[in-house]
Amino acid sequence: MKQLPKSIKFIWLQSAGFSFLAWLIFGIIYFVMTKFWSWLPSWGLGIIMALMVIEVVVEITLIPYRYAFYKYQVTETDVEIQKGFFFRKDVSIPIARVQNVDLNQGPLLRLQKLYSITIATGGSSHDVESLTHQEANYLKDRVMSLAREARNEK
Amino acid sequence: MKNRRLNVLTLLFYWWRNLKLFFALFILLISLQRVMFLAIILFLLLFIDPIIRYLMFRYTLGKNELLVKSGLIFKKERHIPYERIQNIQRKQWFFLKPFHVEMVMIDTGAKTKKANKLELTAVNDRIIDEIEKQRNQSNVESISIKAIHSQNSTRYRIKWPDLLIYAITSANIFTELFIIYSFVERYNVGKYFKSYSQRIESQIENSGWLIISALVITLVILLLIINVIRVIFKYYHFTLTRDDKNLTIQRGLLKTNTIHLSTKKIQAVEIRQTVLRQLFGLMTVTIHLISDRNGSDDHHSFTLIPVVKKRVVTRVVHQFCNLVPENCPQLVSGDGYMMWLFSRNSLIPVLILSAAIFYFYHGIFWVIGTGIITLIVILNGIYKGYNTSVKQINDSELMLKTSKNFDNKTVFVGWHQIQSMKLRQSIWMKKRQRVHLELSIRNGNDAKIFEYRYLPEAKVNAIFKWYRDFA
Repeated sequence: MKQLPKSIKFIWLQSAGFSFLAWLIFGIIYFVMTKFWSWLPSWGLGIIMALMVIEVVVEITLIPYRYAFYKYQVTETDVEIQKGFFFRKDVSIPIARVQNVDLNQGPLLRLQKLYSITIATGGSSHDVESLTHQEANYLKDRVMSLAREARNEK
Repeated sequence: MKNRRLNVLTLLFYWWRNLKLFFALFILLISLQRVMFLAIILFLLLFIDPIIRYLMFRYTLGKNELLVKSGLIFKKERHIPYERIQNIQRKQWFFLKPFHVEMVMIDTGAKTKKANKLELTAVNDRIIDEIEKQRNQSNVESISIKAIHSQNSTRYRIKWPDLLIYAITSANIFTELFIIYSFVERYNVGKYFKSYSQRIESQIENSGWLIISALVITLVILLLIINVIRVIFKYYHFTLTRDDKNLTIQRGLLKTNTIHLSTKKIQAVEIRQTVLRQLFGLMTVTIHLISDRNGSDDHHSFTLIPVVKKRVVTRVVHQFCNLVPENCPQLVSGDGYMMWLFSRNSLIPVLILSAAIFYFYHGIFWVIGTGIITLIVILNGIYKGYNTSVKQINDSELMLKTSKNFDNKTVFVGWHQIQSMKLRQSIWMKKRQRVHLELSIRNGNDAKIFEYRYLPEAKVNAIFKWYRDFA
């Protein structure tokens, strides 16, 4: 079982920063709106700030937990994803069942040269939050060659 | 390879559909001014539209594909290779029998909802046979085996008494009764009844209640009869035939429905038993298919056998689908801890609700009411705990069973059909060594998740290991 690349922690920290920003913008908009509509209560701003603090703090403190209990494994025959400690999830996806693999890269992941991948079977889809370019390519090639084999057998 | 038009009778179907549309629109328009003028224009448009559509719809039986052209302003051509046709469904109204004309639905197995279904509204029998022959020919392996085994077809017919019990025990009656009851409640029909019955009461003493209960009984009997007739119309002469790798289902009284499908497309077999049918030992067999939009009659699952005796169910189904073993394997039923967990989980909301009720209302009526609900919930938990179990029945197959609201559901599925497997375990379950098991199985165009909760960890881990290391 492998862990995600270390730099994912930094990405999670950044995305916590973005949610901080989003809440902040929301708060500012609310503040401006109270100037125009006097019926908006001023304690609403307090609630927004409180939610902001709670979300950002929870997101940041959970980073080590998320990192420590997020494991995956790509073998010859299957992909396995394991996450969580208090609520543990363990998924196995046989490569023969995989229909397609999507490599996604948002701006944050691009800076760290990482990919997030989505493995789609006939219906369900599963995410691995980040893989290095090399690992993502290995998985993709593996799936493609197995899919070709399966077709040849037919 | 010539362009063909559909049978002229297509126009009847088109007109009939447009007539329904016309009345729907007419009701919407009725409040407008000059409604008659608009209605006439609308009627003319809806009358002419089928003629244009009929004239523009042409199809060709090509060498390798079925080609369909349609559209007046926006021309459309669809090319459907024979080998891509997933299943073919034929429908024939009784009045079309003399004309040898049927409706065909062709499932192309395409991903998008719109593109996966092609309807040839009215076509001559001969042409449908031709399409089916072409499709079978493009599937070379099946034709060669078919030549050898053509006599070895297996057949299943539903017996009349079973079908009658099936109709009577269908849960529709309760929903229908409930709908009528809420209708009566809402529109105060009861008030008229009361005044009416009071009038009679003055003549015949104390018989008001008698009349009402007689009315209710008549209503129930009426609904039963309607249900029986509906089921008979739908499943009349239900015949399931297996020819090597192809299944054919034929049913219907006024409208004969014929479906051909390949056993290779079957993803899972589900055997269900509702509470009422448990009393009669009857079961329903449904299958999950890769693409079943044509044939889906309820919630994407496809009825293989609407009713069959419990004693013989696996023996019968085994003849048609190898996923189900001939002799039903015995499952180890769930233990007391599972029963407790299921009861507890569903008791929590009930207890909160009854606490709220006791706070606001007092009286023996409420105590008895909540007491009964609590009892039912506990019984349901015990029943579910007893019935939830999984088992690996051979090298490549699982048998899984659970229940919901006293309805039993047993699923047979093979390794090749399980898209992914997921285990879930919270930290509290870890202590007691329990795991939730989730399977994802293809159904229609997406997946269906089958969940089995609070199973013993050792058993589930063995299954997970088998699943992971199978290939």
